[in-house]
Amino acid sequence: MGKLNTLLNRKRVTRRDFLKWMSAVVAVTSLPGGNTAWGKKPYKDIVSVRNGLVFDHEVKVFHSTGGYNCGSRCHHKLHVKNGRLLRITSSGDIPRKDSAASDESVGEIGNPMQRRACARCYGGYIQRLYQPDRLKYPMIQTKSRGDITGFKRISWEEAIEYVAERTAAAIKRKEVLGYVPILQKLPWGIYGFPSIVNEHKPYICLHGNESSGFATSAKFDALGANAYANSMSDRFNSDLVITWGLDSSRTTYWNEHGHWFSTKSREAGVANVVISPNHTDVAAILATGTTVTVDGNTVKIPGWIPIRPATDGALAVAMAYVIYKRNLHDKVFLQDKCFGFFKGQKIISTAPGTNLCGQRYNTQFPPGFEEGHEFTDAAGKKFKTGEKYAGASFQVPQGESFQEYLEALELAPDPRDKASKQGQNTQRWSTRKKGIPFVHYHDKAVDIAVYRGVIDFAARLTGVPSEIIEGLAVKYATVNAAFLEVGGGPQRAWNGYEWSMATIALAAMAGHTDKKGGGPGGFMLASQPEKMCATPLPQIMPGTGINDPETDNIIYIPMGSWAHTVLTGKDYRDRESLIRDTRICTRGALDLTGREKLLEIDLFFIRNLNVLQTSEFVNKKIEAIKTLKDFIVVDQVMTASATYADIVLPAATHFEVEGIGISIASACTFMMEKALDPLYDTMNDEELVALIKTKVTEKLKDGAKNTEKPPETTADGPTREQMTQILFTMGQPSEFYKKHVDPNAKEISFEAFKQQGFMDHPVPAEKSIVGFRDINVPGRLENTTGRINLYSPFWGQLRPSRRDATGRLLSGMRSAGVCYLPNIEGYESFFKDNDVRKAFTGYRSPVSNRTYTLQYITNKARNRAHTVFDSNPMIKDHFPQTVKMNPMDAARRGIQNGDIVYIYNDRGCIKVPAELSHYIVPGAISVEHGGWYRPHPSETVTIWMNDQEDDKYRQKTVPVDIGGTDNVLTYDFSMKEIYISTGINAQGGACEVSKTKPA
Amino acid sequence: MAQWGFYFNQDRCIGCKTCVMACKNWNDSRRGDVAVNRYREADYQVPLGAMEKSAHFINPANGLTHYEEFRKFHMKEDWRWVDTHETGQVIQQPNNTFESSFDRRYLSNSCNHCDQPACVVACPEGIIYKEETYGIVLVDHENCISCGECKTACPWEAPQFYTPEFDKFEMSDPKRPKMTKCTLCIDRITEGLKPACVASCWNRALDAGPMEELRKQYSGKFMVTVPEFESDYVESLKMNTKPNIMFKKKGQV
Repeated sequence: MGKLNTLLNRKRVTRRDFLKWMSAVVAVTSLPGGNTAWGKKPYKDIVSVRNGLVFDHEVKVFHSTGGYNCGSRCHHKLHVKNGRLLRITSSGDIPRKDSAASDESVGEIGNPMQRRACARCYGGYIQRLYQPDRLKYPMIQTKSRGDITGFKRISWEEAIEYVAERTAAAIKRKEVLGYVPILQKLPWGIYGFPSIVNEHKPYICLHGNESSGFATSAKFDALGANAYANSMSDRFNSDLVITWGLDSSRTTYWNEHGHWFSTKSREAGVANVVISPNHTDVAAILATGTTVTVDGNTVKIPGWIPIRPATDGALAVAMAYVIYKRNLHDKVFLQDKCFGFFKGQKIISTAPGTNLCGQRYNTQFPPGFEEGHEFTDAAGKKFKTGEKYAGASFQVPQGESFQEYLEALELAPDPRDKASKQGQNTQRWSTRKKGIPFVHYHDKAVDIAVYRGVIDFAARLTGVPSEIIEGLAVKYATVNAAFLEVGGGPQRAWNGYEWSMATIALAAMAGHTDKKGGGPGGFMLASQPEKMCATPLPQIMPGTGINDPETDNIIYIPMGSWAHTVLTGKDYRDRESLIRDTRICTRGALDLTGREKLLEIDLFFIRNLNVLQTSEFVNKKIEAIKTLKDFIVVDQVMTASATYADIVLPAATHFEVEGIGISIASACTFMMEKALDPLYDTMNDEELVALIKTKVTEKLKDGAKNTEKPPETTADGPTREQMTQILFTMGQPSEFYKKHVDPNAKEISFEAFKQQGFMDHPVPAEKSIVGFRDINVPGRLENTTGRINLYSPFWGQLRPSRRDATGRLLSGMRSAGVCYLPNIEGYESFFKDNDVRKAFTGYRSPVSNRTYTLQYITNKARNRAHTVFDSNPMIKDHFPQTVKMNPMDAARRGIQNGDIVYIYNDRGCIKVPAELSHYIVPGAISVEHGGWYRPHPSETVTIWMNDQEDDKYRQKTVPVDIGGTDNVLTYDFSMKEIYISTGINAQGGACEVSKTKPA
Repeated sequence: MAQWGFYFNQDRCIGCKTCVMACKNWNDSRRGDVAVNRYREADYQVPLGAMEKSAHFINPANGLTHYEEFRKFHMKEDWRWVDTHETGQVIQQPNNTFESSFDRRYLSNSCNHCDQPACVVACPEGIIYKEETYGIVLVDHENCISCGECKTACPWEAPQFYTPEFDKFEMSDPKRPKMTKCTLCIDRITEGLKPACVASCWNRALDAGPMEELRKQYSGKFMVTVPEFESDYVESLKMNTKPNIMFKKKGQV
């Protein structure tokens, strides 16, 4: 071992390593027959290399921003000549002289932060625009789905005719079914993209959010749908930043240049600690570590705290326990501003909202939504649907407060306990006997062994050493202000909701929630209050009726398990729940009772989304797509999903139309100038949808020619021009901004905006916004109680009879109180009796009887925004899709750096090169999210799939994926009891890695 | 002449390779195969009704995307590149907890436009030279014989060819790769702009300018001319090429 350690101890990754991985990837992807029929003709327009050394002044520069679902937006400068996009630069591209003030800015009034583009846009966009795989004209599949040699070019007339014909056929089925058997990703689309069937409700729509689903659910329950955290710049006012499950140097969506804020705050002396199973780039560069004194001893807290996948909730709960046991919790804040910490706490709701509030797109049904349902409060008073919560009494039931939960962690496993009998000792962590009372640490009578027992258990489970758990908890609770910078990683797991809730509880216990330099934890995802400095997007888009709980009429199914619905007619809800929820969805109009197949889906219409692999269980999704009547894809390039389409329609890019781009979580608005004429035979989305709809209307009128002009504004909302105007107006500084940050902020004209390319309303550190002080004040939160809920009455009233001894619903979801929930295939299940104190056995799958000893994580890739740009060699050559594994795990399997390996479990198998590094903890592997699915032409494996309504697993033979798609490995479970917005079960499932192909 | 060079702050480099991509993006028209491999919109298109007898953008033989084909149309040369240095390890203790001594640092490299460039000495054709205004090491490609002596001589292998098999071509082959290298974006700095890599650097870790100015601007703790962990730089020290670069080493603040 000594020699091995020395060998493994130093590693340098150079260009040569990349060449090695690259050639390994090429070896599996280009396979026999890598020929080409083109490129024979010599190019005539040769550019002299020497000419390139002189600046070309004929190039015109246009303003733009990223156009895909990144969330963060950056300022792009497009260099265009002769109708061709030659180069992209970004906001750092300014004259060198005296540029320091602008370069170094983190957002001062009059000197906004440069929003510099990252490797993705620099390396991806031009190659996406001009690449052989760009969709250039409509094509129809003439062979079977997935066979890309079967695509043939057709004219737009033929294409629109085909799509309209199929769409109309599906719409007509409403007469029989009572709903339109068309599945859409979003009800209305992000930022104004219309739907093809919005007039024909109810249709079926995916619900939830891949990036933030579980955290948003937790936010809804605990803090209200519209709560905001602290501004990005507020970290400068912190004494400690704990970055949890977030690599701000590579995350998209809610990051908003967090890496730069962190860099500058670290340079200003703010300590930073990173918690993650992998040594993130933030951990590599920004983490400082810190020290704390516990009982007179100095504890060193490292910059990187490695943790086991999907055990983050256990660490949060253990930290809460330490804070509580040591009596460091903020009792006044918990008593006055929160609900559910103290045993038996009884309060009167002061919530301003009704039980109809909430964002339907992101959250679940509010309680009492069903027509005629009455909600009974603790005092026996009845509340009807639509009534305000204010005045309702709430009380935490016995045993369900967070205080009682933390105290119970100390108990010894009890063989008479039902959970213990089933080998689920997940909530009994120590040795205290029942009947012996709980005492705080400072009391003389404290049994140190009991206290140590809890922390040691958590250490064994999470991998974080006991003294670090204790030290971090004490540090967090005792510094003046600490910022819990939570990421999306841990909540992209089955138990992510619980982790989110636990971090909200931690912040509240430490009293940081409403503090400058602090923050509420739990839900930072796209909740930065910078958004308030311009006007946030309305939840209910005018004229669409979507997201409006009063009028919405769409059948929602959980996003991750749509393949299950296509195959079985239902999702993971039991039949009764699905029938009930559909009735609610359709205002009682649709009753599915007695139908053999509850929900039928004929047609799936997808635009600019690689839907095959953005959520779980890819092999099941392929199976589902194959059974659909119609699968229609609109996209810019031939994605993995597009290869399975019946027809592909080529979309123009945002370079080819004028528009406005906004970032999800800041007040920055970007001009997107029309820089190019539409390339090839492509069409922009709105035009395309309008054409389809006109044709569909014709068809539905039994062939009668539709002479009406398509209306300017339909039920689909505003046109693109109107949308540009709306977004421009919304981008102006808000009254809130003038009140809290800059009283002199002025509106700017459209001309000035166009010339500058963007408008930004910076929030400097000294003017930082504290969400829970300036916007959402505890007591007036838009949830059930108006307070920060550490006990959720929403979950509390859901079938309380079907809870087990530990307070969980019987399906494993959800406790009404804050707790730790073991992940499905979580680390506990790798031990005898699901108890980490017993022998390590590996995870034994009851389905396949195979044993798996590793757990996967699916963190973000540098080179892709989700799945976008994976087909671009320029960027991908520098970020080959590999499996990252710890050299110790590799050595046990005889795997060396660069070896091609199989990563597999019951659900599928991928084949990529192994990249060995201590970057990741032993026992875990990382497959970065978004590699494009590519079936191997000959290699296959056996998998097990629950593709029928009986939910039994049946063997299937599927191809090995050589694209390295993370979601080939993930499971697609959603809740049994109730409809809830879901996230993705992307982390912590079981798998194995081998040099030889499994059977 | 005011000799120009680079400044690199390792405390800020997050290894994102935006500099690498921005370099390729800006300098695409200067890559070695630009004359033989250019993407034109007219290519890879099949007229309506003609697809039956024509190959399309997807490899028809096996149904896989044609990665090698795509690769033709972008810059293969790495005028700038990022190395990763890893030390230490994560060990799982008998009580299942992790103990980490692991650390990672990044290093963004390019041609350092040495005062005494080894490539200039090595070139048998004498076509590599120090440019007069900024001291940039440039190459006159026209007469390059693709021998690769420059690449071998340079401690960093900064001179680049678009394929690793650059010396396997006939002299008369129009596809024969000729050496290309970092020009410090001379077109941009003449206009008063920053080099593409510096302008793009996502976390503001890079700078470039007259060395004299850089030395004045950046000084203090962790400042080194040659990082001792980087063998290429140790090599350059032995060879006395005098690279024009300043480092701020990674160190805890």
